[in-house]
Amino acid sequence: MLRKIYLISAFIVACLTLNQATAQSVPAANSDRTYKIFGVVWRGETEVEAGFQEYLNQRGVPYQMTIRNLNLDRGNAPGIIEEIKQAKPDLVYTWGTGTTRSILGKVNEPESDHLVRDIPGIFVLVAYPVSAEIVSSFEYPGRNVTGVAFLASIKAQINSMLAYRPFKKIAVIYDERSSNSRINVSQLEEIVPQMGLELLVFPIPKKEDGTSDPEAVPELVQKAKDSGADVLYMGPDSFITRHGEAYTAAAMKAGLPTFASTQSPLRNTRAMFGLVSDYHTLGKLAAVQAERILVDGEKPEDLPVARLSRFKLWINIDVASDLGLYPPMNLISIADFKQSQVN
Amino acid sequence: MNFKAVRQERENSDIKEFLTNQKGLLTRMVLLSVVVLLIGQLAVSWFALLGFEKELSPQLSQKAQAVGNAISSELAFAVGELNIPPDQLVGVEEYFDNYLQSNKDIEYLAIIDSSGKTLFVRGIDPQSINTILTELKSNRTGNSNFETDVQGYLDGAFSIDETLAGTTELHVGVTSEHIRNQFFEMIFEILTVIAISWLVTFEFLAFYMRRSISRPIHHIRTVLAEGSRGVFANRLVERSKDEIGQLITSFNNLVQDLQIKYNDFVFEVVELKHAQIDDSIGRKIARVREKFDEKFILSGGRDVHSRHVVQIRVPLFLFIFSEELSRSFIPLFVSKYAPTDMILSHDILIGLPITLFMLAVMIVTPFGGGLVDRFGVRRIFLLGVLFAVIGFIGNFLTQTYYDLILFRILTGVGYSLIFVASEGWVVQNAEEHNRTASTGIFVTAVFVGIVCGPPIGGMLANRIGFEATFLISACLAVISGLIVYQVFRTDDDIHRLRRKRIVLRKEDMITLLKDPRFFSVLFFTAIPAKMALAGFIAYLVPLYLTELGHNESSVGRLMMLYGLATLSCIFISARFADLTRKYVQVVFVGGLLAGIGCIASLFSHKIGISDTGAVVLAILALGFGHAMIMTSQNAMILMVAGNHADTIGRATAVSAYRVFERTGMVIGPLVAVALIAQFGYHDAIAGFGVIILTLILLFMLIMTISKSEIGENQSLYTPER
Amino acid sequence: MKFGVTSRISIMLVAILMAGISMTIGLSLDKFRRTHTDLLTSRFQFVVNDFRNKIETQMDLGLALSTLQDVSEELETYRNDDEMILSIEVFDESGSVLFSTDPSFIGDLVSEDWVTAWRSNQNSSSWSRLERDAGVVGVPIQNNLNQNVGSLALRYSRDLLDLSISNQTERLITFGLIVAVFIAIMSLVGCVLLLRGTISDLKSMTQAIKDIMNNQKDSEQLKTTIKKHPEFESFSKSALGAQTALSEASSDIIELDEAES
Repeated sequence: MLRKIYLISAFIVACLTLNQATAQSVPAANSDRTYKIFGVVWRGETEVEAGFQEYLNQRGVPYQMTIRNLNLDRGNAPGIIEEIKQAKPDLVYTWGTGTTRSILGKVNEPESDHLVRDIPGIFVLVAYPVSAEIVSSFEYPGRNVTGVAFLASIKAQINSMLAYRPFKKIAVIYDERSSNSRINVSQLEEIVPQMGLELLVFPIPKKEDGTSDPEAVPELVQKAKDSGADVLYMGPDSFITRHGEAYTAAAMKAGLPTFASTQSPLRNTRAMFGLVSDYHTLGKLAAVQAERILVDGEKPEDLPVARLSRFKLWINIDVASDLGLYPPMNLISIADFKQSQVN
Repeated sequence: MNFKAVRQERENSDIKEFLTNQKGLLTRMVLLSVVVLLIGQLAVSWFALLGFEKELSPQLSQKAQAVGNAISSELAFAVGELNIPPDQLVGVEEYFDNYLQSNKDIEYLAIIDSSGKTLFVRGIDPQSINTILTELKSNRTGNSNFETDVQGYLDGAFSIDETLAGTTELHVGVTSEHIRNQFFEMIFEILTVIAISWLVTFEFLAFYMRRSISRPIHHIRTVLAEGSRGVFANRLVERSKDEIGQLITSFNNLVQDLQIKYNDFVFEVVELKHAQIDDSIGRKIARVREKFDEKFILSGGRDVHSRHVVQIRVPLFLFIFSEELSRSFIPLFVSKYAPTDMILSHDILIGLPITLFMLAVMIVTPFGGGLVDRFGVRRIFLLGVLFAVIGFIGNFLTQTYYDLILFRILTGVGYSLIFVASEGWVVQNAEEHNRTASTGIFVTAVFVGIVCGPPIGGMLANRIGFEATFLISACLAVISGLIVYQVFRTDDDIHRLRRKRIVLRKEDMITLLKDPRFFSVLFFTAIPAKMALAGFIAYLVPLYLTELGHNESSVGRLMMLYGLATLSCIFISARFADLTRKYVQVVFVGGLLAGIGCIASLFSHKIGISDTGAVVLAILALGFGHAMIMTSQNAMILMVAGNHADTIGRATAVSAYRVFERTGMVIGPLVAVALIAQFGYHDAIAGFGVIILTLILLFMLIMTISKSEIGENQSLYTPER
Repeated sequence: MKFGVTSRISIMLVAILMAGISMTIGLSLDKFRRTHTDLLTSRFQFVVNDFRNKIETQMDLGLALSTLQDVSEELETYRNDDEMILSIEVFDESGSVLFSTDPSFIGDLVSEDWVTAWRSNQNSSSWSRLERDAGVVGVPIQNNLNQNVGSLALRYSRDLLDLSISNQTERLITFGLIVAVFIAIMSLVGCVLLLRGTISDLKSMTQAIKDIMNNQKDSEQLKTTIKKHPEFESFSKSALGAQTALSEASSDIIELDEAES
């Protein structure tokens, strides 16, 4: 019981109520028409799409889903947009900030043939939908697009770090060019001191061509260690994620644990722990939104961006053992223990 | 209340005069009952505790087993699956604390490694766990968990890691203390039961001893004394077949025998006298009779009934007790049924039944005296019981707010009839010299009822509900009716004391109210006292204490303090007032005490008293204060009335006073509602205090100004006009 | 049979004390029942909570309540751990059983009472019921969207509870009766001792008065009574005197009458 309360207070901060759409009530729709859904992903299909479709299947919503892949290149967007305009789907589904912006555009962008504007849209895996100007606010999207947020709040993330160990100094190494990272760091700078902790910020130096220098990452890790950092924080930063292996290897060498706010560093590198949303669940949550738009006929502009209330505390136990930082007993029954794939 | 008279009554009641040399028989009997009662209650409680431990300890062990299973499986997961070495487990203390906090019945949790070293322990100090486990090892009986008691602990071991070196174990400890503590949670309730059964025993014992022993013996003494003077005319009426009955029978037989012989003698005298031719012999014969009659009186006697004031005691106590059962929860009971869609506020709706009950009492009481004179104590008492029982049963079956009020009013009518009947009995049977003592018996019966009712009623309500408690009230009222039906059987046939009918005339009342001393005694002491009783004790206290989280049982216990305080103080203050004749001062001190005790609640937080503490303080202050006011007030009003003895009549004045006084009861709950609405529960207590204090100061002022001979020369207990 | 003063007082004492003792017995039985139920409830609450945590962890992984895997098996394990557990059910918000240790229940609706109990305790940690044949302890289940999606309910056997309550009742009542007998004897003995003087006075006086009536001036009884109560002497003298005077007067007038004739 107490543990439950503990868990909730540690990990749940924002909790936008999701109205009455529930996964278990009687299947809602039995209209004869089949809904057409057009999905666009950034780098191939993920668990999110699987969860999305599973929920719709469970609910007995008749649908047909087409999925196209941008393949890490925005340049592929116009062709897909053309295809969408021809197919005239009932709903467009987009994965990630880049995909969403290149297909659906920004909230206040003027009408344009190069974007899909007249079809309801749902986005997933967008770290900061408001800062990225995809919607005007979480509560009121301000256009016919809504979606699901996937990051746990900064506060919940810090709390879960503290539940592991009473860390005092948190270091963040980030790519200054990424808007996600800049937003993330500015939030950290606001909240971390409020919680009585210290934040050390290390922007990655740039190469001559202006891009960030991956070579500098291991040095920065060491520098963080030397400045007395207890833990490294890895935000929703695609540059860092891409060079995660080198990053975490350096961290292991320096004896520093790495906390991740997204799933992939935990899955693919030696990050020690993180508070992340489960992709499958995220997909389902997006499907709850989709069902309301398609079946219940609600307008996306009336649907607040949904947020999960419980996240998964992912612990790579092999990393923890190697660092000699065993998880505390209170987290044993709550956390998800994995072996890091790199090992 | 004249203390000398009280003492005299007590002396009369002990069988000490020439029948027996034993002194203080009643005291000894009471002591015997206390001893027997304590032994019985303690034995039963002790046995109940044994059963508690015997039956519940295995349950506790089962619970501990479940907890042990759950914790050990998580620990085993951490050690076995996550490969964390047992001694390097992190955050175990916090983790254990969480469990210990949410499972109060678990005493300690510990991890002991294969070498017997204590790795982690919470809930007990490491030293003690070592001794416990060592001792356990040496005298463990069997292998099961939680079976061997070591230093009051039962230990259970759960394996979390097995290696070649041995087993690392989780130890879970419980203590049978826990069960015992659960049992002792009801210690107050058991103590209350003991205290109350003692009071009831005392009440019944006193009743029986006086009615069946000391009273008849008193009569025997009287007739024996008459016999010593040669008077063998009166016979005693006694139905019982016990030793006293036998003595009386043999005495009656003696008297009867003498009287028969005497009658024969007289018959012969008459016959022979008529038969004589010689007048001188006839005169001689008559002379013989005259000579005998000079020495002995054997005719013209009457039957002496052993009627006594004390007979009313038990039935009155039982009835007051039955009515007081609901005292601690009436407001809560009403609030359950009070409609929410009324213009009147909820608080007023809750107070209304109390007010209407008091109003019924106030209206019926003045007529009661006349009814008692006309139909006799027994019939009116039984009529009262009938009304009350209908009221109680009606409240048992309550469906709506309105029938609740209706039946409360019926109970009120019954209450006042019974009260008046009992008072009538006391007035009819009290001998002139100990009228106050008789009133003392009356007051004691009432207050013992007030003491016992609320706590027992609270306990009952807590378990069987409000409504069912009313059913029990009905049963008790019926029993009191049955006793009156049986014991007062002769009352109907016996001559009734024809009292002068008291008529309250308007002009008399005006005359009385114009008397500043009558006025101030009435309005500045009597009415506020009654107002506080109905508004604070009966209305505010149950509501506020409930809000503070007390259950009915606990509310009843705290309310009992009022009765206890009054009962313990009433005779002492009466004695003091009678000895010193400082009636005004005693009333003043009583008022001050009550007022200040209530006002103190304002500062309760500053002086570190809890809210409940403040209520208790106010209850006690009111109890003591009321005792002082009541005793001296009665004396005072008799004196003030005495001033009008020629014009209005003492009895009329007193009864007018009684009627006026009851308006305090009627307005009490309404005053409480107003105060609560304005200041909230807590400060409303102080509100009552301010009212009482202000009025008592006014009272003192008026009494000082209109200084008179009160308490100086007048005899208090001259017979009424 | 006639009752003397002593036995009357003893009977009264015993009656009142029995009332008090019955009250104590009633109180302690009530407390016993509550404590026992609380212990059972907290024990099974612990069990279901433990299980609930597991289910909710699975649900955190995104599984719907109805699609949880191998829950039935785990339920079975829990049930086998404790023989007092009759069954464990997981029911959804419509009240239909999704999983049960008794597979035949699956798909059935649980009693309305359970659903109501669950609904009204959704924000508290658990709910419990005491039914005629079993005790029930339940905990609400929430998914990771904080929605109440159903409840776990554990039914445990009341046999033990009822048995131990009836054991305790029986024992206490038996003991209460023994105490009553003891009290009766004690108060009887006490009353006899305390009232001995009074009673014997009463008896001797009764006898003395009888003797007076029968004009046995010299009876031992009369003498001892007078010895003990000197005040009685004047009465006895007077009464005897009355008798004598009466018979003397009678014979006087007869003498006078005879003398005349």
